[in-house]
Amino acid sequence: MTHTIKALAVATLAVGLSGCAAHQQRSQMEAFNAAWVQGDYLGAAATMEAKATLTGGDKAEDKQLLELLHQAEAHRLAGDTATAISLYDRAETGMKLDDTTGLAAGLLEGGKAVLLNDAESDYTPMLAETVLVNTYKGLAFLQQGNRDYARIEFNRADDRTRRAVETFAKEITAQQEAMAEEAEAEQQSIQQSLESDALQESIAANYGETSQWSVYPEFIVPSATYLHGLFFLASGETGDLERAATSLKRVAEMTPGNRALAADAELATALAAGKAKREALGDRVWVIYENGLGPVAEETRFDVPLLLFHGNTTSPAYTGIALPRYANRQAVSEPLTLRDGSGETITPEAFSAMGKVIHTEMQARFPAVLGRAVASAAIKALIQTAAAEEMGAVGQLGTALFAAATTQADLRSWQAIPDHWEVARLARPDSGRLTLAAGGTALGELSLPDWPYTLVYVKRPSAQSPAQVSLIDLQGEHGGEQLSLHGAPSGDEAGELVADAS
Amino acid sequence: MRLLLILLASLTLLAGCATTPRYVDPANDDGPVSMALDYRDFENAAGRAVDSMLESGAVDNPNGGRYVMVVSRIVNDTMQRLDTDQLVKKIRVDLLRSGRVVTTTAVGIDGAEDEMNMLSRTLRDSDEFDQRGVQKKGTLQAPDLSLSGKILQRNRKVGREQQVEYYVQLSLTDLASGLALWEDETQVIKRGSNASVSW
Repeated sequence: MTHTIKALAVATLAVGLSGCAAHQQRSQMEAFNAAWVQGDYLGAAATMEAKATLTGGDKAEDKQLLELLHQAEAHRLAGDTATAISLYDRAETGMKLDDTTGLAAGLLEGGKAVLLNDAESDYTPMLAETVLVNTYKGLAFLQQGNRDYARIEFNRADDRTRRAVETFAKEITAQQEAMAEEAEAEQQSIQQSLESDALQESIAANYGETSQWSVYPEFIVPSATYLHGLFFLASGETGDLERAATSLKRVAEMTPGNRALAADAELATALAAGKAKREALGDRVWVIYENGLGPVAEETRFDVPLLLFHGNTTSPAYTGIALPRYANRQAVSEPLTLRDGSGETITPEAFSAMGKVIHTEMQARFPAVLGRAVASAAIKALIQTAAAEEMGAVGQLGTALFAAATTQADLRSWQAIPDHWEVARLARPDSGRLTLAAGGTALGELSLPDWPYTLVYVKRPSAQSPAQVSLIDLQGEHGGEQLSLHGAPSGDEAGELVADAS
Repeated sequence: MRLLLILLASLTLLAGCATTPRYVDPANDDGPVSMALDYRDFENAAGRAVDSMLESGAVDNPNGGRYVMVVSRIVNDTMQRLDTDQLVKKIRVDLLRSGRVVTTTAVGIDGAEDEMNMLSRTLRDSDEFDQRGVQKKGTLQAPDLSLSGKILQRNRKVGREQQVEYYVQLSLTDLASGLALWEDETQVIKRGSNASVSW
């Protein structure tokens, strides 16, 4: 254990440096959110510029993944699809690097997570986030009128969904294997602590039962699967309708009661079976609305009972652990309504709550997250015991400070995703006009192109921000438009409509 | 000083280990295989497709002479950004060499492949050009056959590995009757690490 204490000196230095990094990261996220909620998307992107390396070079993509994700979505909302795609491509490169990290680097990352905490490792995105990367990129390509590349992205999103369940199982196995490689005393301490009723009761009392969370029956990001279904519904290529029907039925089953989703599943199934004809449909419009700010992780710290093996004795000890708990932020409370030329008003229906998606993923990953937190706590407690024996009170105090400073939950997440999605479907109004309103106040009027399948994709992070609207040809044959609907100045019911880019 | 020498020696050794560019013989390339489609896969798929097409007799013109083929849409339904022209070009070259099929560049799904076909006809009535060399009306040949297809990708986990299946599906349609005279599917199956996505 003596060498461990020496290593502790180095680790303490690392803690100091990482403390600075954590502070910078929090400030950066606060700056991003301040601009984001005001609808200043280019300003938000600027706050997430990655810092250079110590030698002045660019960081590798996996070292700036979180920044790339935020920047990419901010540029997409600002209407700069080319920059957004380029940044999303780099984020994918980072995700690949993260997945395929060599053994040595992987051990280093794992070691940092256990000796310090998860937050000291490179950012590993949630699987829901990886699925959304390809979905947003697919939307950006469609907006450019590039259906070939959009198809590739929707295929990728679908494959990432398929891989997700396997990944959850793999993560738990990897955690168990990592524990098996620990020294015997540490391993016994971790394993028996994890299996003890006292620890489970403490988790339930302080963190809550993960089994009580509202989750989907299987991992899915309903909005991503829905857009996958809509793209293939509109494409018209051989074999695509069956895929559309599969995706749209899956989403409809996950969200019972949503009439728009049920109608789309029914339509795709009928078209695939030859029971309905496209020609009879007329021009169709779908409105998808990303509402509000997605959930963020908050830290929950509490003491848990551990069983520490030291020499030939077992001694109970209470040690602190820190776990991330996801809390919802805010949706825009004023409901979005649509009014067509005939005066009919349509209200989009909610689906794909991001909190539920994240809880579904976290429930599957929780054993691994808890395992790392308990392993970290057990090792730090054993170091404290050894330090007290070898260095007396000074050693014990030093290691206690080290443990307190490094017991932190990983609170990083992609904060450019919404609270939830909403959807409405309608026949294209004869007038081609569609008015968007929020809480009875007109946001603006859209002039819908005469495409057979038009997607009106709306994103509004907060009531203070304008509604960003992308007009997209779901068949990808025409480039789209990006609009900011700022709402009606007093006395002007029609609202102001500003084109950012096309 | 000794430490500095060791560091320099290490750096020199590492520099010596760096990969240097070298030529690869495409016919005998047994270099590492990636999970993505590479030039070897296109060569093999195109070669097999052309052999199958020629053997089927679908491109033997009973009236003698060569059929005129147009390349229609080849849908890339994979997870990679592929240039499907890579596949089609090899097929076109092999068919041309067979002496049985010639490809038109005057029409295509997204317009003429070679815009000069029409641009050269705008020279009619120009005093600047010798009109004897300018293309006359009615000289472009309409296609008899259309080549279309799709490249599909399906991924699955097999044991601890990832299996990536590519299906290159091609159809040759007789434009007079609308009937597919020839169809073929070439499979490219790869197995490798499941650590990350296949693209």
